[in-house]
Amino acid sequence: MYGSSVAGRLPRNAHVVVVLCHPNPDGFAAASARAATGALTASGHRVTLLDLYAGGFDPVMSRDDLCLHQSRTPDVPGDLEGHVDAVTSADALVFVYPTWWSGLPAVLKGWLERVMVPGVAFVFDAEQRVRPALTNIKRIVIISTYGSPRRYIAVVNDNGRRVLARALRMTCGWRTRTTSIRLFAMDTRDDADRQRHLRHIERKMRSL
Amino acid sequence: MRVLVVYSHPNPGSFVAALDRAVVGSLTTAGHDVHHIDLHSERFDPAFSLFERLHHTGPPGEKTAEFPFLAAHVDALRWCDHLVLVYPTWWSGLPAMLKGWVDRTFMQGVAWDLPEGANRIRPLLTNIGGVTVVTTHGSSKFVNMLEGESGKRTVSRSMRLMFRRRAGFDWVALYGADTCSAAKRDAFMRRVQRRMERLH
Repeated sequence: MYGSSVAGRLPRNAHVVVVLCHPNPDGFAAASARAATGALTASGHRVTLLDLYAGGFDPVMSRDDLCLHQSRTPDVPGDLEGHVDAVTSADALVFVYPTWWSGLPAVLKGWLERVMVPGVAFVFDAEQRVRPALTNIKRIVIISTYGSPRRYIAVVNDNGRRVLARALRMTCGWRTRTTSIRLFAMDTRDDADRQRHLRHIERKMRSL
Repeated sequence: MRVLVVYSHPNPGSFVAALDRAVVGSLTTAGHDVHHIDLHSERFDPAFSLFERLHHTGPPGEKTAEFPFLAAHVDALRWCDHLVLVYPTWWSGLPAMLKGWVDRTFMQGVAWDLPEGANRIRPLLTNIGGVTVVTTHGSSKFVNMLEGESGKRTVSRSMRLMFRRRAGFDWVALYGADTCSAAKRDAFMRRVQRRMERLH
């Protein structure tokens, strides 16, 4: 059963969706997303970039959104259709974001709430139990930076990573694998550290 | 006691909204001084902005001058002795709206301070002696355990470390809310009321 379909390994010409969430288009997160996108494209994959801040993504789950959610239909508001199409046709999801208060930035959390709705990320079975629907996703990649050192994050827990690598992972297939590429103590890193980390991201992306 | 209640749910007809009204009612009956924030009704913008990113380590006045609506939230945080959060748990964590409230109001000079050259922040919200979370989970306790309870840890660890040393943490949570009976909901409602009445 292994060989050509090693768990988590991407097929040739895979569709990879890169979700970038950072307010600064000239910051390190944007540079990380460019490094990831470049390496993936060079490896022959097709990349869709969802830049949430640049696209003015509205992260607030409205009352109307919630009504759609509770009706358990796969309908999404019109502004989200592109996001849903990307996610449902992707072989891998790559998240690039800064970890704030040990969690996801609100804009990325809101993206999960509004895009990963019933019929897209999960379905309900006859007994009203949640069942995964993102079985097309073979790999989740988490690329994040932290102001705090690694030890501090170990104490408070990497709660943003948990949302993606556990809660979201549970709506994917059994063989979906996760990869985390993390840079701690960001505020005291010099330029050489940052460049080295970008090369590290590129290497990891080439080996998906 | 001065209690700040922060409520985040888009539907005023929801069970979480009813819990919020019960929290405020019980606290008021018990004689506490309550300040209530309803993030959805005031249309709070949860998106941490480029301005805030670029002035991340600057004084809070810069941020409240650029975004005047943040000033009242900062004042409320500095005023209270106890914080109560009322929200639905989505994707095992805080709703984006509430997470954005934390991202934007727990700013340098209000919640924390970063001494020169240090990696680790120093807490400033030492007026807050405890935090209570009232939340609902659609899924079971077991599923939430597998998911790693990121919302619970965000409050009990990351946020609480900005409060007074050994600040209390009270977790009042309903699991399986999507499928539970009306009787179970009523029992949870009474549990929330009792907790609030006994707050001291």
